[in-house]
Amino acid sequence: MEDHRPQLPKKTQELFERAVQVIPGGIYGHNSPANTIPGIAPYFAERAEGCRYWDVDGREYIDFLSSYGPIVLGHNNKEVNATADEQRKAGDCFNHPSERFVELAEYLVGSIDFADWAIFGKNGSDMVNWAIKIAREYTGRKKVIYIDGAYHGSGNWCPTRGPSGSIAEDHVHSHTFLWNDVHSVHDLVKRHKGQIAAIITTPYHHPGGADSVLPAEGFLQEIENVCKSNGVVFILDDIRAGFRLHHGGSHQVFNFTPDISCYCKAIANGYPLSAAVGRDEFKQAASKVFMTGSYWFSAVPMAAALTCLQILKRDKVVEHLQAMGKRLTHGLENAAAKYGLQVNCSGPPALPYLSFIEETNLMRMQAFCRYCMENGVFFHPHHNWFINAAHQESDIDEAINIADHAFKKVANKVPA
Amino acid sequence: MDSPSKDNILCRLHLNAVLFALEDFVAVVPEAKQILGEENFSITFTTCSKLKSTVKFHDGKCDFIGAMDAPNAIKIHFLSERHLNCIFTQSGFTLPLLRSGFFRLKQLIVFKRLSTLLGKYLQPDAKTLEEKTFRSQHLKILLGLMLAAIKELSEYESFSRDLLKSTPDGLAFFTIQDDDISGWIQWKDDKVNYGKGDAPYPPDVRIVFEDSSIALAAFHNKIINMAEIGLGRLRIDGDTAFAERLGWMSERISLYLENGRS
Repeated sequence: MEDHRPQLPKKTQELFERAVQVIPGGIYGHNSPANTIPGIAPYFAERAEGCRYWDVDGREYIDFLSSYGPIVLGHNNKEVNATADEQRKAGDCFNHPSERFVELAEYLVGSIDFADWAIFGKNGSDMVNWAIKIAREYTGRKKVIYIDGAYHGSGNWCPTRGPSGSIAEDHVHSHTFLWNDVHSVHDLVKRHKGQIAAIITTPYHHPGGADSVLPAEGFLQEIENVCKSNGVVFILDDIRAGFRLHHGGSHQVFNFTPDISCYCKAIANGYPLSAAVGRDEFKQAASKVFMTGSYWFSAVPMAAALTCLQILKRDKVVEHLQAMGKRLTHGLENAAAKYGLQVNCSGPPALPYLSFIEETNLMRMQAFCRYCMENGVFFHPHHNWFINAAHQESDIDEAINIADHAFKKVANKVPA
Repeated sequence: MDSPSKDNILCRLHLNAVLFALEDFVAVVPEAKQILGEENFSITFTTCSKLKSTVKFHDGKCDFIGAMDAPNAIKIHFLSERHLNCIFTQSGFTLPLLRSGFFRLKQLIVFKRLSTLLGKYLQPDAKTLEEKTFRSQHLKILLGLMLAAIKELSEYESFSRDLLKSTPDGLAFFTIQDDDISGWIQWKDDKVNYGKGDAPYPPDVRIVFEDSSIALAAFHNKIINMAEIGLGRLRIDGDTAFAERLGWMSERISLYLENGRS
């Protein structure tokens, strides 16, 4: 730790001081500087292009967070923007949905193997909460079980960060199982037999502040079986990884089939949209659950999503993300090893999570990210990163080169 | 373990955190030392539920000896935990039972004067806090109280216990940069240990208050942490999740002690 607080750049300082006067915390939620490297990380963005962005003080970063996921093709993608602009000229927020609404639902139903219907919202939480309600409507049951440590958005049913604003009753019907532990799933289902409306999982475990863990052989298939044999709705929260691992949804990578799947981040390259798809069996229940919002039918994000999803397929973006992710993670592992440091890149290469092996307090990880940020690479210290289609080999190599210097400093300065 | 009642937890905080604060209080406040003078005595507080704490005054200082017995102690007994809480918060009228020390009126008066003065140091008015020396004394006393209170909550309050159980073992070190005040809390093997001064091991998280005014506001839950962190006046390096949990626990201490609720 530095002896004195780092000096924020002028415009950042001014803007944040103004922000704290009129906004709780200055910047709240996952964007709060408190969640990255305060004093070093950029606080306010000015503009972005491809895989790079600039903050309000003109500092440039290679972006490995991709706006926490929504930017899958790269910032300011011209094709997506052109489609969105065209739709904007025609209109965006009407009394009614536009033709894009139907087209997008048709596209998703056509590209996701088990999908018979689709619904739309704005954020991941909208879809997950809707899916839970559909499951409760369909089963007439109350309980939801989910992975211990998983993040499923900000719905009341799922405890998030801290006790503020929650009451114990919010979570009375929520129970957790351990990832990759079939027995803990069976135990819960047995204990609450006939009461469980839904089991919700992510396609792989990506807890906050910890390594990602892929599913063990047969684990998700067993959950699918348990759901089938107990009349429980199997919900996949594919908000984070959806369309980054497979154009037809992440379940296809891991060979299982959920009943309902929720998407958001990569669907529209930054335009506000989320979606859920489901099997025909749940269509009637979905129609009965009233969920909506003032902007949930806006046409521009749906037009953007259609183009984004088509580009993902046309340009084989999944393969590109995988290749760039592998290049990055191998490069980082090799660079760290040069200085005797052992790092672990967990999760799929398209969404890598870097950690120092056996480090639980993040001291070295924060130091590493601090040095990288100071030199123009935005790595998050305790959230998985997101590769996007604009990352090219030269960008990855530039980042690895900067990371190399950062590892050297960490090895010299930060005790294990 | 059954979940203890709020009265039970508040009673434990009074017995093991507020009384513990007497140690620092006598050490850092000259007026307290003056009141104590050359009196040497111990006072034991007990409740019907068998909670017990003893403070020992000797040679111009105070030692908190917790549930241990002190020979020849003045013994003050409370009919219930709520009874003790009411007396400590000055919201009750039923006097406790004096079980031993009937004829040690002078020492009882000394203790009464000390406890009244401690109250002023723990809950001062805003104007008094503007004075730097007083603020520093207040923070030192409050720090000791908070450390002891976190240990109590970690042992007896299920909410706090669950919070700590959801984080790996770790050691948090905190310091106020413009003052000679620092302390540490360790969560290891399901137990909280704590101390004042330098940490015994390299910490997992360092919490640095830029100055005593920020620390004061933080201790009294009067700052927005995210804003102060963003501005650099409160710096947290390392295991931020552990620091966050300690922050939530300290908020609960205030709720108990200031409002008698959680």
